[in-house]
Amino acid sequence: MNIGSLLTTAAAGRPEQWATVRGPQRQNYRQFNARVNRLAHGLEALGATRGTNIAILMTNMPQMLEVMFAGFKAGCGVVPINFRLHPQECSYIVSHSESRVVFTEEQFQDTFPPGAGDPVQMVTTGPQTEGSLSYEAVLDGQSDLYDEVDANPDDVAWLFYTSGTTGRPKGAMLTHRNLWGMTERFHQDILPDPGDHEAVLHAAPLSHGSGLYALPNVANAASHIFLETSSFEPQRVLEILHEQAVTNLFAAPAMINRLLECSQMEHTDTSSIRALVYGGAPMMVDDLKRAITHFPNMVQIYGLGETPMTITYLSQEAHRIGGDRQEKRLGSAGIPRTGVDVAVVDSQGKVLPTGQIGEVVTRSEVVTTGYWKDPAATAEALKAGWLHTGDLGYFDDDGYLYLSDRSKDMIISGGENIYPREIEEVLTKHLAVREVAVIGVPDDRWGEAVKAVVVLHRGHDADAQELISFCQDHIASYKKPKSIDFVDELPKNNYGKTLKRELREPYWADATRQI
Amino acid sequence: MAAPHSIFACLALSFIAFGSHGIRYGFAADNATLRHGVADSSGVDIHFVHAGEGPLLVMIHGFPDYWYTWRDQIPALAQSFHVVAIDQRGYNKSSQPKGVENYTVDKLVADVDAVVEHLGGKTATILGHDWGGMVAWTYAMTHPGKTERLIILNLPHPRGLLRELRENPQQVKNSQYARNFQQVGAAALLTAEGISAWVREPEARQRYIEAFKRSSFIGMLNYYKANYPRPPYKEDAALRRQVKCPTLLIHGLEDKALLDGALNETWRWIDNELTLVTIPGAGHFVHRDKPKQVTRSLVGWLKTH
Repeated sequence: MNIGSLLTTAAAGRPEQWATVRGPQRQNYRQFNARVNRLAHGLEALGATRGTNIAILMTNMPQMLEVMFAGFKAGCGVVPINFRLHPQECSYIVSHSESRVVFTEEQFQDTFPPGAGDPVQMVTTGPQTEGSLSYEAVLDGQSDLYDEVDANPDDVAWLFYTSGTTGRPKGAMLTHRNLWGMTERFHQDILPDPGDHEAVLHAAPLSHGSGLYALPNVANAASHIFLETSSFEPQRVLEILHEQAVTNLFAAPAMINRLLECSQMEHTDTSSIRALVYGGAPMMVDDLKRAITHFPNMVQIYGLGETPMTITYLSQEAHRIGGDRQEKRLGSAGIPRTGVDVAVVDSQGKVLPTGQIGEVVTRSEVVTTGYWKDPAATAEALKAGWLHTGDLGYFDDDGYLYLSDRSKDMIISGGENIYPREIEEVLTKHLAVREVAVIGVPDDRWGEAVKAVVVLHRGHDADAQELISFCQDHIASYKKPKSIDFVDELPKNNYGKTLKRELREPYWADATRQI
Repeated sequence: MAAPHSIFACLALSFIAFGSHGIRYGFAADNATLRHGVADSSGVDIHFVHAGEGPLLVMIHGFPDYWYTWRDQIPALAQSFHVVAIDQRGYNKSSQPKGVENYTVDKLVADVDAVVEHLGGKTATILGHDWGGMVAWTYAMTHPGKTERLIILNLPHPRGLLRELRENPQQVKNSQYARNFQQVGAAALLTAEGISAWVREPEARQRYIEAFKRSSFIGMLNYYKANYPRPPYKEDAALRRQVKCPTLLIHGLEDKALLDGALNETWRWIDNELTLVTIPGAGHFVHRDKPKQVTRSLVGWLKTH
């Protein structure tokens, strides 16, 4: 089994189909596969054979997809690094993963200062320097034909370093089997009926969300559309959706919100889109309702790097159900993916009945075999084959999963468990509120007290008392914020997730207990 | 150089293919005899096709293109002009010198002048699109006595473009493709099929694929490496030479690579009459998007200027 064979098959079946498109730079599947094969030979020439890890620090560009597939075919473990990480984090990942080759581009070359006796071979798409090889030189003179390595299904194909809002990043080992399982389930649940001309827009980074979805899209011989810039330009994205007749894409909720705020949105023809897949962070119900009017084919997926993109999903139909049930459904993370076990358990690992909040656990062939060189973290996350997600949630009577919060974000106030997401949902409904994060801060009387940190819409005004009363109209009084801070923006990590730990820190600096 | 009869074979093919759309594709119906020629530009062969008799009118294509881009305009213009459509260096049947230094705009201008000289022209009307527009503007600035008229399609005056790159962040973003082209190895990701994708008619696209297989991708991108403005987008003194002849500027407003804001103040840089024709619903390849409309504008303006 080799996940790289997805490309070999696609190129054999539809050689003339565009594979990568970035402005006028286009190559078809025959040309793309040939370059990947040449690179796979080039990797072997650099000593990167089966079991060797290779790192990629690049912005979204066709070469990044080439490296991923060449790595798969050669039996290497591919280590894509989020280019927005700090240089020190990038260096940590390269060294922790024991990567032997690092593919990068000119703007990142200073990230890895050349060290004496450094075992790492740098390859750059920029000008060749003393410590690096040029990307094209690695391909030069190699054969267009390559027989992919017959990998063991449990060989690592992708080392997925998770964001971690605390501590060092951990590398979830994703095997050929895991990625195969993810790909099959995309075809079962997300886009079951692919057309002859699928086109995926890589608006999100290929190092995580969009890169994973590149796999089923290669299987469909879809055209992979790249933006010209590495930043997310809403106006340009809307133009490209139309120009390139994009059929599917993955986007974080923050990206979708930026598209909706763009003045061009009203005039953009989005009718080619058959699946707009979102996930990675919760999307507030009001935002979602607004999004559906422009993108009727929304699909929510809930997954983690440890079980890539594959725990539950909220189907297109569930988004369009209408009436009161729609409101409720849109607040859920949907139902388990095909062939994926999902349960809610208490702290002893006992399965909880419907309606009770506990930790979400999952088991399937998509679940990681563990963390690279980290048996302690592996033992903590994987128990008897179940992946413990660290997310809290419950199932309703219809089998829909509702996520409340990360377990560490839960607030315990006066002995009551309070789930910030619930309060955030309410505050987002207030016209003046653009974004909100609810945290617990130390309180002598209650242990913790609820605080909301709010970003207002430009030109809108609201004071703390008004927002607190607004909450009281919608939720139990003990849940309402005791205080509100107004800020210009919320701290986010490189994946767009709000860093609640950072928000909490100043308040807990003098307290003896950190939750 | 191809024998004339093979060209007729190609033209007949295009006539048959597009015959149902009417006469505008029908070279053969117009009896416009296309001839091929080659001019020597200091050792670089510049291939061109020409048709008709009368005052010289030189047509210069842009990226990624070749002389065939003017197929809808040549027959109408050849009724009153000696129309010459060149292949710029690096493209199709012209030479493909190596090295970025061989693609600076002064060399591209010299290529046009070599063609004008070769055909014995004392003066000529110069028409350019995209990079051909850059060459045409520069030709007019540096050869005022030889430029009878100037016609530009979707390439704002270089001073206007520089100003936008300095002041309009959207233009900077939309010029990212040019930055990408300036990168090492960018040519490796170009394919003949890929850069022909903008050509809508399948038969024409096939001809483009063949022409681009004969072309140099490295040469094409050398235009960007040698000439596309880089930060801090300073105006070089050479650009401050005024254009002296009547000028027609046609701009498809849907052009995302070159935003229309750059057209402002063009009149300040021309010491003669400027005619501006903006075409909604047409993009960067304005003469392909709206061939009839562009041909009509060209013919009408040429009659009166």
